Formats: sequence, C-alpha cells, structure tokens
Amino acid sequence: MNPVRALHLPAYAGFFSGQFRKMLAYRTRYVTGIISYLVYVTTYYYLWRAVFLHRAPGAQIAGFTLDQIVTYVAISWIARSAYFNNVDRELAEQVQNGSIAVALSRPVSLQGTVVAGALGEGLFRFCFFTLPIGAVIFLLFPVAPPPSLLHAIAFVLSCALSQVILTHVNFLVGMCAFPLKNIDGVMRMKHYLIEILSGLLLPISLFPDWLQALSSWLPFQAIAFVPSSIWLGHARGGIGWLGDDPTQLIVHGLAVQAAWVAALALLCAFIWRRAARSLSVQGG
Amino acid sequence: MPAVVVTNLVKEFRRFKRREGLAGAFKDLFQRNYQALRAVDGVSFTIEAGERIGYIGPNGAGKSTTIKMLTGILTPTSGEIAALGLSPHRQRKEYVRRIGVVFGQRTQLWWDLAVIESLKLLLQIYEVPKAEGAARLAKLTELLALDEFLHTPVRKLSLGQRMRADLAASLLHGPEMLFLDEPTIGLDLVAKDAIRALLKRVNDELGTTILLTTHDLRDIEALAERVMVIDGGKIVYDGSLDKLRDEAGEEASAEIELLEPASLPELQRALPQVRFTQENPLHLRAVFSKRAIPAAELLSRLVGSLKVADIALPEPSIEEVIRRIYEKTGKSAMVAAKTAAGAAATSPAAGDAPRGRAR
Repeated sequence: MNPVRALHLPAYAGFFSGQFRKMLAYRTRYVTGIISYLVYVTTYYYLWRAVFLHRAPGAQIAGFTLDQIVTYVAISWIARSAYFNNVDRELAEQVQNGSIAVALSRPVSLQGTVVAGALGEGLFRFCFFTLPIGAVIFLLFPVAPPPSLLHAIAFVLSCALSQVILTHVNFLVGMCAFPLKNIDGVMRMKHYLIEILSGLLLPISLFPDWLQALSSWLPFQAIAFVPSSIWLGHARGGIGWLGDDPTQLIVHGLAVQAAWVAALALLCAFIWRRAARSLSVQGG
Repeated sequence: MPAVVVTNLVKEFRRFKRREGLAGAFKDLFQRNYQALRAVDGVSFTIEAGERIGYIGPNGAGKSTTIKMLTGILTPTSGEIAALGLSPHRQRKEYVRRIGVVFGQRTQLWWDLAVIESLKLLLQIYEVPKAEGAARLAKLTELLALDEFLHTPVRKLSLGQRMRADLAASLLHGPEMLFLDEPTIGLDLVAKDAIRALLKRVNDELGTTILLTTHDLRDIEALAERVMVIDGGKIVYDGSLDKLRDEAGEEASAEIELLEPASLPELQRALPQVRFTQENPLHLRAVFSKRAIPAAELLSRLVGSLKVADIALPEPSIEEVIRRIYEKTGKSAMVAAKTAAGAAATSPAAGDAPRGRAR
C-alpha cells in the first residue's frame, strides 16, 4: 500500500495548511512581536558587553568570545521566533471549553493534527515573523554568519526539529488539563524550565558541570542549544557528545534532535491512550 | 442487522467533592473526596439503518454524554456499543470517517477562514476523492443555499448560516449516520425550519440515519419517527411519536366555562372518575381518563347538569406528554418543576428544558 495513503498524510496536510492560513488572518498581530524580540536581543547584547567590558579583546568565557556569544544569543532568539508555539494552552482551552469533542470527531489522531498544525504555524512564523526579525537583528547587531551554506541549511532543518520537540513537550503539558483542568501553573513552570535549560538565555556550556550533565539527558537542550551551536559551528566545551568538529556537530545535533522527536512522540502517544479513557468533556 | 446496538451502556464521571469550611478546605488538601456520578446508567437500545430518532431529556440527563460515546469521543465506563460493526472508541478513526457529527454549540469550521476554504480542508482531511468531493460540495451548496456566504469568514456568519455551513461540513464525506447535538439551539424559527427540512431530505434521499438531541419539541414533531427519552441517565421512553401521543391522549382535560357557579363537591360526587379543579367560580377544569369515561359521555352529563357557556377539549401538547413522563420517573421532577416555574415567571428567556404549559 502507498505509504502516503496509509499514514493519511493528505489529511494531516489539511491541518498544516489550515493552521497556516489561520495565522495568516492574524498576521498584523505579529508586528508588535518583532519589537519584543528586538528588546530581548538588545538586553542580552548589552548584558554580555558589560560582562566582557574589562577583558582583553578576543578574551573567552567558557570558549566563547564576545562576538560569538552575541551571535549565539541573537540566533537563539531568532530561532525561537520560528519554533515557539502555544500548543499546551490551546489544548487546555479545548479541554476546558469542550471543543476537544470536535477535534476528536475527525478521522485522524489528535497528536498528529497538533503536530501538523504546529508545523503550519511554524512555516507562517518563519516567513512572516522570523525573516523580518532576523533582518532587523542582522542590521543592528554584529551577528556572524554560519561557517558554510551546509550549516545554514542544517540550522533551518534543526529549527524545524526544535519545533516538533517543543510541540510534543507542549502537548504533554497540555494533556495535564485532562485531570487538572487548569494548568496555568504547570505552563509557567515549563516556560521557565525551557528558557533556562534549553540554552536560550545562555549557552549550556556556561552551566556548572552537574547542570550540563543533567541537561544532556533532557529534551530541552535539543530545542535551542543544538540549532544555535550548529549556526556557530561549535559547541565550545559544551555537552561532550555534540563535539566541536563543525561537520560532525551537524550530524550529532540533528541525530540528537531526531531521537528526542521519536522518544517524545512515543511518550505522547502512550500517555494519550491512557488519558483519553479518563477524558470528560464539559458542556453540551 | 441494526446499524447500532447499545448494551448496558454506563458512563461515570468522578467529581471532586469539596468539604465545607476552612477546616474542610485543609482536609481537601490531603485527602480528596470523590463522588462518582453516573451520567449514563445502563442504557440499551438499537438503531436501524435509515431511522430518524429524536433523543430528548432535561439538562444533565445524559443526552450529550450518550452522543459522545456513540461518536467515539468518550470511552464508556462499562457496556458495549457496536456501531456500523465497529467499536466507536476503540476504532475511532475508522469509525468517524463513516459518520457525521454536529455540535450545535460549537463549529467544526475554521473560525477565521472562508466557508469554502473550511469545506475544502475537510474534504482533504476526510480524504474524499476529488470528483466525488466536488460533486457533493456542489450538491450541498445548492441544498443548503450556501452560495450567499461561501466566501465569508465563518466568524462573520449569523448563527443560522453557521449551522447550515456546519451541516454541510458534517455531510461532505457522505456519512452513513449523522449525530446532531442540539442542532437548532439558538436559531430563529425560519432557520430552524430550514434545518429540519434539510435533515428530512438528507434522510429521505440519502438514507442517512439521523439521531438528534434537542430541547425544542417541534424538532421532534417535524423530524422524529422515533423518540427516546432519557432522564437521570436511564431511558424512560423509547417508541414511536404516535404511541407517545396516544399514551398522552389517554389522559385528557376539559376546560369548562359556566354561566352560573356550580358546587364543586356535588359535581365531584356525581362524577368520581373525573378530577375537578376550580380556577374561579365560573371556570372549571376537568382531568379524566378516556378509558374511565369517554369524552362524549362526560360532555353530555356536564351539559345536562350545569349551565355551560363553553367547553374546550385542548389536545395535550407533546410538552405536556414529556413532562408527565419526567414526572412519572420522578428523577428530575424537581428540576422539571423548577424550570417550568422559572419559565412561567420569566418566559420566554428562561430555561431551555422542556417545560409544561405555563399556567
């Protein structure tokens, strides 16, 4: 049998394109978002400038020069503008207001539609959010280009995988709404956990050893640290398995991300099967 | 073979029961009390292909929960459903491909997209072959008069238009059965009529089995050949609409206007099989069983002994019949009585539960 048919890919493509077009209807909303990302990057730019202020030119902190760390921070935020989503909040709202019933009346898996929709959102964000943000940041800050075209392509691919990983993390958090109904607290906790442990705010290489070791066993580093390291072409003393060889880094980074995609997808499917049994749907 | 066989269906929800007071709140932190709530309590029925069934009951009786189990959305606590030869919740994806579902209070369309875009996406999601999809889209566009708002975003539609679009959405993939949870809720009379007419046509022309829940008994009168009444999680009536009317018809009432006041005790003694009530000295109400005394006999005896100005024999409405069924089962008699009273006081806005005649 044709695998495209067997996996119902056209059906999921429908959710992909539906979400993309839905976002398109709200594109003006993202203009203000560009400003907030600019504020984030500016803040961290001056923070790192202050840290390096009294050091000799070309000095390094945990293997990063000032130029490299500025590139890391800027690229991390640019990547985030593409992979970010609110799947957890949306799922919780569907459970709270009962519209999850509609989602379940369709001949597709909820997890599959959520991932397909998130990818549609990702494509929208990449085209209408990340590209303008990236252009502005490149103009204003000294961001170094990637070592090669291959790294640039791998970076984009890596961001797509980050998005799938984050979507699954968010799907897991969203499923907490089945027993808990209100998951504001869980979502806030996840938010801070990801900001720190993903390596968005600072490279994981700068963490104390024990936290680096812990991070290497968590999915979060695969969300921000991996794509940013690929762009830089090195993971500078960071998590051992990523390595510092620019080409090897691509292979390792993408492999780690792919492994997390598989693991989280299986975990979500497993938990969903159990959660669905105890689902109660509110309202008529 | 029946299209759907439901056997001893039960759905329990666990509800967290809070203790009272500050001390109770502290206790709740450490040990939670759960209360099992039986929304559906041992329901059994079968549905034949091509039937049109109205499923009614007061708020919280278990209608929506039943529908959500029949559509594979909820997993039953116990009991079995075999629908189209499948188990809805175990084979959900395969099963929902062959049914249509409409929730009157929610839309399955993309809120921000034009109707036509939503419908085309659904054709893609249900993987309907191109030619078949185009033909069905054209047919439904004509049948539901979607033309006027095909290119309008769903969020800008009126409720009636939205419901028409939602009906089209539920029929696009050619379902064998159609489940509708309150499809006419909030619609005006014209829109309701349009929806009813359409459902009837779908059933007549395509043979689609239809099960709908409603609080509007005119939906039932217009559509349903068979009525199931659920109350307190149990089916309390399952039969034809005609039979329901007959059962109700057995108990009749007469409104009697008099020219001169009559003595109620005397009248009661003369006709013990009739229950008389007096609203004012010149207005009597007689409630009687047609078996105990034929209406004609009652009338002739009344006319013979009293100075009668006018007698009316109102046909019992379906509302009245349903109310009697609810009251007989007693489960939600309180609820029914309360909503009836509320409706009388603040009608027409109050309560969407079936109510008795406002008196």
